[in-house]
Amino acid sequence: MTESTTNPLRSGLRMQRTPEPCTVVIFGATGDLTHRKLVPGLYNLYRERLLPPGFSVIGFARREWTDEYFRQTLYDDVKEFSRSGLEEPLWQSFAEGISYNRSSFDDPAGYQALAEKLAALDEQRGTGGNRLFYLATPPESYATIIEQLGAAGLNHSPNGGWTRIIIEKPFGRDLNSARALDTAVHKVFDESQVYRIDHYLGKETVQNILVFRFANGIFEPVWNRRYVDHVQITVGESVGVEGRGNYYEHAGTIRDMVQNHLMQLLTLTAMEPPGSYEANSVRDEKVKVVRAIRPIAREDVAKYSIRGQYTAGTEGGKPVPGYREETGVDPSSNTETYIALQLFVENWRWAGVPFYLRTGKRLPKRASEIAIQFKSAPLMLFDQGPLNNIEPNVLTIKVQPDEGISLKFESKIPGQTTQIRPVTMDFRYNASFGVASPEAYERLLLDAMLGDSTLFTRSDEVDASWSLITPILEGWQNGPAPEPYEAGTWGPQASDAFLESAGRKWRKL
Amino acid sequence: MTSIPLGERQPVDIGAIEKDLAALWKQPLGGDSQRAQITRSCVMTLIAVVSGQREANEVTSAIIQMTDRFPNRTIVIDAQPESGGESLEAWAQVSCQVPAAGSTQICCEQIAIEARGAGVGRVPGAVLPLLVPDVPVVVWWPRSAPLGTPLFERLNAMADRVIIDSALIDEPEGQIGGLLAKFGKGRAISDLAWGRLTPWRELTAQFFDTPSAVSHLSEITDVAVHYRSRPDGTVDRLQPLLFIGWLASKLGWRTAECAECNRDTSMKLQRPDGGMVRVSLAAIPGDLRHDEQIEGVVMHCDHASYQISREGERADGVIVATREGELAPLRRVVHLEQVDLLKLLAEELRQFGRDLGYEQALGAAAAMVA
Repeated sequence: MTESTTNPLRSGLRMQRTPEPCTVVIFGATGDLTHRKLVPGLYNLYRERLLPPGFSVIGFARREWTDEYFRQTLYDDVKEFSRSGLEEPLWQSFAEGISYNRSSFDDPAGYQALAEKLAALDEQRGTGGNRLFYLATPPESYATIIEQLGAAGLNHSPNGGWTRIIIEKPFGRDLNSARALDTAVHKVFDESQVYRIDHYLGKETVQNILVFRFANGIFEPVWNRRYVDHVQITVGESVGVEGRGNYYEHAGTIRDMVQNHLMQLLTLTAMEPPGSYEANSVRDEKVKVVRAIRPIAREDVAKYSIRGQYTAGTEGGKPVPGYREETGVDPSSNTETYIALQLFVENWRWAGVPFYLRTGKRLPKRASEIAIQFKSAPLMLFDQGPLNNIEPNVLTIKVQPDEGISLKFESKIPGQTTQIRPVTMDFRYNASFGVASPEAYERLLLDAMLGDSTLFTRSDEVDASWSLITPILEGWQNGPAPEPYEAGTWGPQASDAFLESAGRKWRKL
Repeated sequence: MTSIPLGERQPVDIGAIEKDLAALWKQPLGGDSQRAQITRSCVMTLIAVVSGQREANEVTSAIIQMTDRFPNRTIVIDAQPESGGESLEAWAQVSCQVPAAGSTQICCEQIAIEARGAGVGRVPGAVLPLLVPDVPVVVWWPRSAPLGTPLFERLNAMADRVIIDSALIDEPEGQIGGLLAKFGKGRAISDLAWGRLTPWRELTAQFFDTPSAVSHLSEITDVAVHYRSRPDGTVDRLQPLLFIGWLASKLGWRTAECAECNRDTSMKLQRPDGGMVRVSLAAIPGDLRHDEQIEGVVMHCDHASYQISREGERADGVIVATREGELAPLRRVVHLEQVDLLKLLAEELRQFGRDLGYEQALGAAAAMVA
């Protein structure tokens, strides 16, 4: 918790969360993330009175921009991307705290200038030495920026303030590079200062997994190997690489999606109840899950995973090119755009229960969900003929786009005979709450300013995750090319066979 | 947002409303809207007690506009005990919100009950079986609550939460001391007059979120609250008193004797360290905006001052200014949305449990005017 809890006027207030005055320094201030997500998110927080007096932003980037030009570009982007639009008087007041620091990331003079600006803001705007650095740059620059921050003495605050750093994904591209980056980070920053961001954890529905599991008493007793047949986690995207062919060639689906987003969904689904809803208690339990996953040896990757790559097809009825025809992609590329994985969490709760993960680009629709498929009833009283086709119960947590939870169960069709049909009991967020959820980045930026790291990934979790993923990456390096699948379909046929061999099938989404 | 009726409002047999509602749900979607898939949802039973058809229509319309946020079964009771005769009639209707693109269409039930004369006494018995099982019951008194009447007592007894607006009660300042006893009885109370203060309290609290600023809280010497008088020129100090009561309850200030104080505009409170806080309440003539009385707050300490004031005539912005020690003064424009009835009500419907902050502020305010 932060010092603000010592403010007696906060007690009983409905709006509990306001950080201390601080400056957010964004490295990569001219990039897309800053303009589409970060500054619009900060502006929305300001509009909702969630930012403190004196709150300031410094953009740090290489381009020859001035304070005025930087503000103008942000003005345009906030107008376009802010979920609440832009109100002129508010923007003017918010923009008074925005400035720009031009420098290359490896120039010590740029960091010296930054230090002077930060000190001036402490004086002029009362930011009290509180700084939040945000690395919104390509990952290749992370180590340089961190090193320079340390060299300039910006890793610690004067006057008892706090200094924190948010590092965007991907945190490394394999185990070795992640560890090298971690070493570079820890040379300069203490782990308690580091906030590794995965914006999936800022989504309301992802956070609701914990509430659903641990604020209700009826699910936990059946949330284990005794009742669960298997778990399917799907993150489907209908888009292709969207002009990011160069990036994707180096990343591929497993780095882009599995190591971070899907692993987060898996850990939240499989973790034990934490001792408390406190950052390290929650993160301890998540790490235990990752460590309990049975490693996949390099020679076994084809047995436990399927890779695919989309070919020309359609998206929403319109023709789209294949991956190898995308800009920036090698025409003979073997980069995967789809992956399906079978993982086992080897602990007392989950031993023997397969977790099937699948994600890909150019699938028929954008859909993310976690489906817990329960074992069938032990005795089929009603399985008396062709009219009945009893299906197992499935509890589905839908992350996007229609956030909600649904339970599928069997029901009798009204009539003189005992005909059975599956029905669903649906909870939809927008039907019960009807309010727009804040953007994931807003929640996470606010959490970082408040010093709450619960929804950020800790060093040991990243390490455990890469320890699991790296052998799979290495196994595929010498393996066959990804299976082709037509854009607009649910991945390669081999993926269906992957589950069918175990007597299961992918859910129809 | 627009609402469309799912079938017409129909007179129903008061003893068989559930059956009639079930029939209404089977009717085709009204209007020329698309026959979209509709979702029936209900997170509470909301009972509103009004007087007269016009008020009933206003209240029903307001509640329907909140359907997307708080799908509910609404029971609007038009109770006029003074009218002659004895009657009790009911109408039922299902309305749907026209959804935003990509959203689900939510439909809810409205039941209107009209009671006249001695028929008012039969209202609680008619309402009780209409409560939706397993969801909270909220009773809202949109106008002056008929304190002490049997209808008031019996409907409140069904409620998990009672919503009132103490600003609408006759001579509210004189009633401050007795409000909790009359409304509360251990159940959760929402007072819309208190809700209007929420953004002012949040902004005030925000001044003291830093460790260095917290220390100034125990050094406050002066608090001035500027507030609007009523349109007819009369002065009602309820909201400023609640605001000062909130500060006093949180900071441990006690009412002190003050020979030189003008009871209507100034008072003295004593801090826990024995220091004195001068409080001034300054009325400003002019129109109220959405029954919001507070126009500005100024607080002084020995080495700091804090001010929140309206930004000219702009209704949805305030200027927040801070001066602390040697630091450069800070001034910023802050969004402060107009707190109209719908927003106030929506905020209260989000709450569960008692609001102890309100109860303590009310107690402190009562001590100041005793």
